[in-house]
Amino acid sequence: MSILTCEKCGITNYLDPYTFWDYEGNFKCAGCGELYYVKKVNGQLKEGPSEARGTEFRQPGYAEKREGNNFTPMNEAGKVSPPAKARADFQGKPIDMEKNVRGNLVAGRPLKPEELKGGIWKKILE
Amino acid sequence: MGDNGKCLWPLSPAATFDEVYKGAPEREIEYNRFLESVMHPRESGKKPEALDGIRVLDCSTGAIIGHWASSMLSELGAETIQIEPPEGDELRKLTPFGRKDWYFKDKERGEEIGMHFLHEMRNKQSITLNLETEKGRTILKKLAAKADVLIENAPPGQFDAWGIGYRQLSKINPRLVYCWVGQKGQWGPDKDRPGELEPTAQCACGFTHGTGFPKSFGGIPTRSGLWMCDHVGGTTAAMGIITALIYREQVSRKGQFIEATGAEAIIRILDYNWAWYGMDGSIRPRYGNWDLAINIYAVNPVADGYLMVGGGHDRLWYRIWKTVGKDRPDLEELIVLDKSLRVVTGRLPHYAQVKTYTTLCEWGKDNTRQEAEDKLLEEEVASGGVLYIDEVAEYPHFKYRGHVAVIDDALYGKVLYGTNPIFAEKTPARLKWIGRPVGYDNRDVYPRLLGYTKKDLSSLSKEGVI
Amino acid sequence: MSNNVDYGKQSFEKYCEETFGIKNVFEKPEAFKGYRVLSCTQYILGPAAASYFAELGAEVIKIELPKAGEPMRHTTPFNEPFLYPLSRWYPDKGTGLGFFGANPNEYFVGLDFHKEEGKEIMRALAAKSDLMVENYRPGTFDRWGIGYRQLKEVNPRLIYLWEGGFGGFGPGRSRASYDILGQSQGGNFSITGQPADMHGHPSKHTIWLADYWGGMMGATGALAAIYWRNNKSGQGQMIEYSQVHGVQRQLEYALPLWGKFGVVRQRWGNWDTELSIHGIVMCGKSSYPDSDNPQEQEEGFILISAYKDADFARLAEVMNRTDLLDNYATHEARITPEAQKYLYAEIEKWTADKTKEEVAEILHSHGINCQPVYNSKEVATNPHWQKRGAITWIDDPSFGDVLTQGAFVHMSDTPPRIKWAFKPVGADNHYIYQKLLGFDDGKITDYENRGII
Repeated sequence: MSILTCEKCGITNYLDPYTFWDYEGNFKCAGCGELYYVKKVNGQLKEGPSEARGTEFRQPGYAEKREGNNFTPMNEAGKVSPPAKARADFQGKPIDMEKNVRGNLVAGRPLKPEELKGGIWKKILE
Repeated sequence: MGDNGKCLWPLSPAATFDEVYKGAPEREIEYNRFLESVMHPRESGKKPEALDGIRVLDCSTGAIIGHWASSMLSELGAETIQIEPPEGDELRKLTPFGRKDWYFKDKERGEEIGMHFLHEMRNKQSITLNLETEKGRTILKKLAAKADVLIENAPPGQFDAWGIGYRQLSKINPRLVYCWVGQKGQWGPDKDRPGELEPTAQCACGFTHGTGFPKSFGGIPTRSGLWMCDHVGGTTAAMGIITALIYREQVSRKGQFIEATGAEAIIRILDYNWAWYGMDGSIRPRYGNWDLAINIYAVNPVADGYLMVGGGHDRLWYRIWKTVGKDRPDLEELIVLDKSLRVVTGRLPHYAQVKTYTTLCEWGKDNTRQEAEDKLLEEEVASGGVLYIDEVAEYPHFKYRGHVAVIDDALYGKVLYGTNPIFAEKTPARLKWIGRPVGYDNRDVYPRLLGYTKKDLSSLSKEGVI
Repeated sequence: MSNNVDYGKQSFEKYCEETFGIKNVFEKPEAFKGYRVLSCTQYILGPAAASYFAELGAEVIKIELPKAGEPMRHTTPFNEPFLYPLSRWYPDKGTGLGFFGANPNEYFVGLDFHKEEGKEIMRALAAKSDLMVENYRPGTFDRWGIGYRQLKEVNPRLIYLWEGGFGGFGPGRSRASYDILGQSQGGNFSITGQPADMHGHPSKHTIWLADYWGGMMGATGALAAIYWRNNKSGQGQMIEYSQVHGVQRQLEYALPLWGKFGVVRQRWGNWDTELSIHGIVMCGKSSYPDSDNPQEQEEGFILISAYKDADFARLAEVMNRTDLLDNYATHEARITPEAQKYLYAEIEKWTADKTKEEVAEILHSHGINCQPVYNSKEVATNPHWQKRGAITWIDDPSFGDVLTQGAFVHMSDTPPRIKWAFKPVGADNHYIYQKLLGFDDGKITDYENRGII
């Protein structure tokens, strides 16, 4: 199993395949910070989760809290492995942009129907 | 001479038409009968060649990019003459890990040739010509006068300084299409340095930084295992050349100067990297075998290797989880009950992808590539294993279509090779011979094009010109 | 170049700059002016094939489902950037950057082939076109009455390029394909990435290589077919390109090696199986330690190419490790797997306290070839690429100031060029349908309202 719910805090930790497919060692629960030992061979959980061995660990790739049909991501920075980021202020959702990286106008935000009339640029410039 | 008979392929025979289409609806069989009648490569040899009558001089040496470009032209029917220095292109010596027992040898001379070079010498004649000698350059001018296309990859300005660059040859033959190929270009602040090879281009264009796993997954920038930019750059060169030939015939009556580089070919096709940087300063990160813009669209480990599964939009997304749910309803539940994953765009953020693929792999670990593919296919989801080369060669579909084939070459015996993917009704690409020893065609090309006698050739050879 | 320039006195580099420089590109003729291409395509493979003709000056008409367009418009990296509007009907939705690069210079019309009027329009457009590119499942267009067999009746000069994953016939003909499925099954995936014994995995090429380059290969076939039609036969034809097949063409020595010696080529990470030293090593110091961008905080990497004996000797000297020459002076000695593992590790010790720029400066000053591994910002802002127009800002008529890739090749007389990145769905309904089919405004509005165009 790669999706392990911590008995102490109830947080579900996702041990992502490219980090944990073949892995022997600890992972650190994203909820309470508890270390658990696991041994995984070719994706199969062979041992654990059990008491930590040593102090080295890897972080899960993702964690969440499940209450019935509600899933709440628990991805506080430092608790799960960091995402591949393209920028420091990386957001992962549509960003409204009017100026590009060199400060010129770019059509990077939703428009209202009336903004289409007479040209997009005219409207943005106003 | 040499051990030419042996070939391990195919381990099993290709399927027949009846086997392939057994049980298919009549309408589909009818369409496929038509399609195979016009498209199957078994008929290629009887058809005309698109570039028949075009003569190409490939003066490139020491890099694959030019050879790839001239291969595209020669496979499409151009008469292609590979010009090598008298000692032969140094690529002939390349062999993986220096293994000399992996050389091929021709039947006539027993001369060694590396497989990489052999695979790109297709349909080309080999002549030798020493361009470092004045006499050699004079001969090149005479050949160029009778050619339609010339390809070279000398250090920037070398041919020009020798008096055989575009500026000079276009005076001798205004119809000549002259193409320089390289890694980064023959002008500009970072122009090619002598001896630069692939993967210089991969590193200079942003490809390598973006390939491989993210740092948090233990990854580093990763090059293509292939001399990939040479292939892509060589293709852009061939495209430019054929375009110039069309323009020459229909409009201008003259040739032109073309420059194709491995790095710029990749820059042209490097997805959205530049637009993204331009909008908000983003630097495309590595994302391993996942995709920044589509989920599910990834390769992940399964029980016996790696499996690609694709299905970004709702229809396929839910079919994938239905498939998973047949074995593991608990896993299906984790995904389909999660409201944040209900819209396509909600699945794209990084942590949504980690959740998706960890869950998918939890199912995948108990399935082989084939088992997983079969199960997904029941729900009409596209998937496929990462194939190793032996699996590629033996894969029934590829074998049936002739993606991989053996040529029984007059000189090199049986050689397994990747065929040209341009299938066409009337002018398909094809292979006529796989390669030639160094200067093998001196005795044909020089008398035919320049009227040289045997005596001329032997004295040129003694002088070190050919 | 005018005739009175004494080229003998002009440096070659200057000559190239004038010949290929971006300054005069838009004043030069276009190779395919007057040609018309229909692009009935989605995602990247098919669109890319048509887009190269658009760069070369053909009138490429991109046909999409009315109003919402093709699926690639909805893909964008990490769901962040979009360009608005998606179409006149959806101003508050945008097109993702996944659409970027595969559709420049094209004209965008809506057309629903499922409707009878749509099929008629398709036939009428095909009658006036030179090339048609489609990437629907094999036989779909044939079944709809707008396939090659039907269209060649209305236009025998039409070249019909079908681009797909596994090809139109054979046991796997009905399999859908995507770029990385093509890479996976084609074989280049299994030979790219760090080796298994170095904790690596097979890795995809992080471009839609099989798609974009597959488009180039299909376009190459179409170009050859145009040449043959124009100059030899007057006839069109059908071309089929399978992207997985394309990948198999580029496996280099892998297939002969398997066929004759029964050896399966494996991945070899950042080094080279045929040349040594010719690989990428880590430079321990980040080039931008103060940047807040995680991509810039990373260590640097550099390709070092010193496979020639003399170059390697110089490298050993520069590293102050002439002891390496005792055992590794020849290429034969350096190329074995064991030697490579040892030597690259030794080189990484030397680069461990340097940035990639520092290593590059040292090596270049000693005449050793090397190339820092650039990230996309370093490429986008590199004066070399900017000067050559490989990456360029354009004032896009629909979307404003956007940074885009330049043309795929440089040509002195008929250079390809990027005029606009793309347009909203259906942006050219009036222009194209009026010009080619004589539809008036009323008919266009009616057809738009009925979802035909």
